Amino acid sequence: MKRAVILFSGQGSQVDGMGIDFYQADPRFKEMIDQASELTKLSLLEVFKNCQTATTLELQPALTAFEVALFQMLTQDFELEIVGAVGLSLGEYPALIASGALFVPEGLALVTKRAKFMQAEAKTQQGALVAVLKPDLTELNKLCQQCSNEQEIVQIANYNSPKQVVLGGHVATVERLTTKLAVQGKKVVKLNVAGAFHTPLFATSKAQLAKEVTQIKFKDPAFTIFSNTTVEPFTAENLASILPKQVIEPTHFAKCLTQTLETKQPDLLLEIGPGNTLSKFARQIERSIPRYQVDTLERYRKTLAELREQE
Amino acid sequence: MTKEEILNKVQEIVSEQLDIEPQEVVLTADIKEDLEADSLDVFEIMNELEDELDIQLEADESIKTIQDVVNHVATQVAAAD
Repeated sequence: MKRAVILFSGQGSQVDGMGIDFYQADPRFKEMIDQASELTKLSLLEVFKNCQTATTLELQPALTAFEVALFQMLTQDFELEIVGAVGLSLGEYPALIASGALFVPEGLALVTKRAKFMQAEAKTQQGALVAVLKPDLTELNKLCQQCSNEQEIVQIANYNSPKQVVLGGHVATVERLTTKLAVQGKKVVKLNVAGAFHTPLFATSKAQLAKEVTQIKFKDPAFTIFSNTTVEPFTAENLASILPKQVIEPTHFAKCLTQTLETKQPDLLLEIGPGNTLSKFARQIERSIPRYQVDTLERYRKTLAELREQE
Repeated sequence: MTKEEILNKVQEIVSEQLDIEPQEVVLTADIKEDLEADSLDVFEIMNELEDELDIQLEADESIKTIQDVVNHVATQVAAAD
């Protein structure tokens, strides 16, 4: 049996019309999405159709439901030994639900609350995220400190791959830093997001989530999931303290994947979620490992056929 | 640098960035529609071309296909000579 590590993509990966093909073709997917719509009180199919205009409040539960449904179908359709998973940011929620650390209804409820808190907080402030290519991390951290002050900050929000990091903070501070980087000839691109996720700009969301998680009895994940925040494996004990912190601290996808590859030695990576962003990061981290995606029905079938062929 | 050499370089960089086979990177391919690149991918591709060929590329919304990229790069390479 193939040893697989599953990658769960985060917010920003959504594309208009995602999941419609599965919804029409597979009754299992339809049932799971309909149930998730009831649980979250959102019309998830409508969110799938109009992802580009959807809000954080809608997108986080929609992506979670989409990815969990695909995970469940995949594990029914093909026997894989799942030895680990890495989610990016929001993607940690579908990863945790898939691993059994959270039951589906409680996981969806929690992610819906997280989305609500983050959307409300994003509206109260002017935050921005920008991607920086081929960064010198020491230099970049120094510049972030120079540009930040007591009221307004900028910091590294996502350590995505050796070739790319994302900076987040207050708009004015981010702009100051962008200008400095441009002078040095560094390339910076503004990301189209609702706020400076993974920075202290979301301190209220963190506090609100900390209250919510006290209601939940987490289980140990069935497979290893290194936390984006601490780069330690999630456990029933540490989830309640890490998940709230996750919204204000940087994500370390690259380190999580490296740790997972080293400790689990998987045969392949399988990305669940729209697009192949995480597979691209994975290739920049360790190019030799085979990568598969299951974002559309067509690619789902192709991936299954390829995996079966290798047996 | 001939257009063929430029195309080879573009194919190498685009296939690397998008994790696809170089043969898929044909002149008529639309980068976003056919090759499923997002705007950050396009940005990374342009940045890589700039670094490897030692040229400056301006962000240009009219660049859609691989042919457009090759033409744009060819113009800048000629200007740099």
